[in-house]
Amino acid sequence: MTDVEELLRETLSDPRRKVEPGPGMYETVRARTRDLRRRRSTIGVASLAVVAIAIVGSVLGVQHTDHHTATATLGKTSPPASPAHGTLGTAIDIGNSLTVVDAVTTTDGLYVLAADPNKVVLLSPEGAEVKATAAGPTGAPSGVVVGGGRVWAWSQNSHDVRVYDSKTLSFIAEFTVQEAIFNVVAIDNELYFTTDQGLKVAHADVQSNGVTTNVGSITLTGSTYGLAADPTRHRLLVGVMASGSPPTSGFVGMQVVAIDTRTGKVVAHSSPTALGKESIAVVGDQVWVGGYGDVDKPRLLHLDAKTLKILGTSPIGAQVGPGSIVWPGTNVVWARGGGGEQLGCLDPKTGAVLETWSAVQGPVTSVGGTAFGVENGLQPLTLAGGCTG
Amino acid sequence: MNRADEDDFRAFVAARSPSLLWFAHLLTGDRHAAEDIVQTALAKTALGWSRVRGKDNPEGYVRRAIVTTHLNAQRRRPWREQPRQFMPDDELPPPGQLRPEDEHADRDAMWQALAELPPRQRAVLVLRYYEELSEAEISDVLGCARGTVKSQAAKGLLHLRRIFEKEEAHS
Repeated sequence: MTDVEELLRETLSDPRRKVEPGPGMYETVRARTRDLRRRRSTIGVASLAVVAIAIVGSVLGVQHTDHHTATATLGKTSPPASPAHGTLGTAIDIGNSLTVVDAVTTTDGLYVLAADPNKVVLLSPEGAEVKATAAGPTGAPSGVVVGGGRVWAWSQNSHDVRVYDSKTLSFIAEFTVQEAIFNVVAIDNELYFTTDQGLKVAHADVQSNGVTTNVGSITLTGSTYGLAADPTRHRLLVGVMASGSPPTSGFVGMQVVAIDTRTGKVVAHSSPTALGKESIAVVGDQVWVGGYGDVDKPRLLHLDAKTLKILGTSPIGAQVGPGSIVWPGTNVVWARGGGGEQLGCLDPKTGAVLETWSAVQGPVTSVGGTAFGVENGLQPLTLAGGCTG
Repeated sequence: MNRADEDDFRAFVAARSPSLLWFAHLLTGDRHAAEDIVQTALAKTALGWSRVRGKDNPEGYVRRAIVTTHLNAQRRRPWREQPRQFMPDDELPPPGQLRPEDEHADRDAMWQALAELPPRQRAVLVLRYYEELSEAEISDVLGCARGTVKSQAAKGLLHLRRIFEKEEAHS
């Protein structure tokens, strides 16, 4: 019988869990301190301004009740500096006090994965009407993807994956993956997912309502994490740990590898990025990679979609803290600091910041001029300043 | 912050950040999240360093800030990223080479089991079995009743025991 308390003490004292601070730790802390001080000071000034406006407004209201324009002018704010600062709309009600975990919007509808209890919900594209619901995967639900007329919902801790029809959410199949699932994309009738054992493929056989895993000839093994679909070029983009001559000293980060989905062959790769725990977003001919890494190196990278050559970064890269997370839109790329709440809508060609939101923590999805963020529910993002979603 | 405080704070960060990062890694199970939380906690501490440096235990103050920053972040993120056992940057053996007789296998299994605990239960166990704090001290850090600490610790240990009993039954 295992002595759990003793093993717990040993595990917590295991020197392998020790983490060395990255270079520039102190400088990063100082930068965050300055940022924190600035934000507190802004909030203080804003509060004073609101109080002052309220007092002046009420005085004007009492003394000159016919001069409403005076208070209106005081209440006006100056035009927003570029980039535009976006706001959140009213949270969309998906019913039953469900907790929204992930969402994907397409021209067919808005697909939401929710917890407590686990459900997949299909709403109309603008989120106004619930079209269908289905029971979600077992365990803690993690993500939902849509592709090829199928909806795939999965749980990272139970390894359970469920497949549904994208029009009706009627249940098609369920299967369990043996390994821990990291990231998932769906292309046509197949689901691709990175695991702690490499890249895997699941094929949903619609005829027999069954699913077979590890079909095809893709045999990328080892540590894989980030994953994105590039349907225009029939490619999968996968984050793979860059291998040096062993024993490799220090953290070398990952490379982005392009795999042709028709042949299963690696057809391009980037140079090492010094990033880990990466996310990859493909928008047209542009690829963006976010991840965690040293604060003195870019943690948001722009790659050429064909060659995967690293082209540069974005101005928002300097504000993302220890890392960044990216999501693809139809015309834009979404980027958020890995430890923060500031969300940016970027021009995928230049990295220019088109619009920002100060408090969106969860995943973001957009299509055709509508965008949603998961932040205390599912909330529409107002789009302005050239951000078209 | 004046020059003396600045020098003092820089020395504190240089000396204590490895230990603080280890502690945050135990709480989060994720080295990147750990780094983020430690940076946030240190930044908050820096704002009041002249006051904090005069305390008996400035490091204890930062550790409390780490715990509260972590738990607040978890509360606000129902979609939160799940801690994972096998991150790309974890220096674990390549796939297929983690044998049952591996000397670290039990500890790796325990690390994985810890990832299944709710954040508050995990925090209580880390404070109890790593920091060796008493129930009263833990209740002070977490801002909850001693009874809550006791029940959270009991639930956490029970969950871990069940996992290991299941594994032993399998083997």
